[in-house]
Amino acid sequence: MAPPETMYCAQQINIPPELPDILKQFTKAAIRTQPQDVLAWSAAYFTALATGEALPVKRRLEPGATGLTPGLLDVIYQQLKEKNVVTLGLLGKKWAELGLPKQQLSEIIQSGGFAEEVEFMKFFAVTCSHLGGGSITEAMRLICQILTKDPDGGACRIQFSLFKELYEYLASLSGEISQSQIEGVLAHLHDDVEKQAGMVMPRNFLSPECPKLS
Amino acid sequence: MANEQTKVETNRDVPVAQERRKKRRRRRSRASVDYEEMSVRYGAVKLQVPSGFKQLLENLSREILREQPKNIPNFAAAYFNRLLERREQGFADGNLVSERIVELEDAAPLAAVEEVMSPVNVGAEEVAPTIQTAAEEEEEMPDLTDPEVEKAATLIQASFRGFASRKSVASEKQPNTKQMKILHKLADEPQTSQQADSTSAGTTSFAKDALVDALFEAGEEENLKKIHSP
Repeated sequence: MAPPETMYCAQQINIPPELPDILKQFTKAAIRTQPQDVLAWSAAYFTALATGEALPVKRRLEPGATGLTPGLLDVIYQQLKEKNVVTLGLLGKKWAELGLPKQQLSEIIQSGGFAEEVEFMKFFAVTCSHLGGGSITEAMRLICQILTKDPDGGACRIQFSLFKELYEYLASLSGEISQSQIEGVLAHLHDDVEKQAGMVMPRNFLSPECPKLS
Repeated sequence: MANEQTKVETNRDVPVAQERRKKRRRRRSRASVDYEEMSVRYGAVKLQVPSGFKQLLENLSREILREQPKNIPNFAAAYFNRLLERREQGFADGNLVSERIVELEDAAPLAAVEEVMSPVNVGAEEVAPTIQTAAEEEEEMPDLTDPEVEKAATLIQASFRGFASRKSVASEKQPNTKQMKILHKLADEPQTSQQADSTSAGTTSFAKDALVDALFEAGEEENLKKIHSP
């Protein structure tokens, strides 16, 4: 129903009952996510809301953060995890929606040597390594933190098979890690994994007893 | 006996509850709210909306209240995508719309216009059955040489200006209500729409304007009738 043609007072305006809550959730999401480009992010937020996709909203506030952060990578992961293969165009679009610098994306694409079509999990792993400043240990910790189904601040367990796949990929990409070192790490973790129902957590590979990942 | 016991217990509970309430009040009073800046401060932690968000939210609410869309998320998505598109085209007034965005109902022509407005395919899956016809019509629509399209577009633009100026008259009548702000903003719009018209006139973007205006017509037929009637 359109509002009446002549407005005399505020009571004449019909406020849709669901509007206040939509605006409130939207504002809360903006406060928590602190998008760099508010307009692009708002468009992405409502497009996701209208189509029922994962919302581009951080799980929690990351004060003082600029550029790519673990929280924003988590947003990208939640939105694209259903896809096996993504195009660079789609990644660029997600990047722009979150107001992230293009330079950073091209650095990641370059270090992964990605072509037009990218396996999303590979892109994800390389981005974690980029966030971790190139350290594979830090990258694997971030991977556990984002991929885990444990609650926030929990043990951050992930499937060992997934860990193995991503670790071997990152290790081969760096080209500096010998096959025997990779095997040593995996063999050491295997004992822990058997006790943890096929799961591995950062505490296992950060412990001093575990051989260095890189 | 039993009664006395429960009495004692409730008596003991009351101060606890009061204490708790007091604590909550104290905690709340520690949060200082700045309505000008739209921020909340809890000790060292400061929560604030991103810069420019307040204006954006005001504009969004105004558009929603004005258009009364049935599906608010869809409408908001179309609205922001349109603004984004305009920003990419280089319009400085990133938050102002010079045209109305009208929700698509079930008619196919509307779906066509919705498509053009939101290149990211808002709800593309949902309108999938109509999209084919949408694409066909999209190809036909920007034909500027078609006199009918042009005629229709100017007619719609004219009627929109009529609509807007009516609104401004309405705002002059009522200088003191809180709603004034909204009506004033409506009254501002003919200017921006004329600016947009002059910058885009003669260019290919005229086709786009016409499409958006056609959207305005198709969705608001009933309103238009009202506007045309004296």
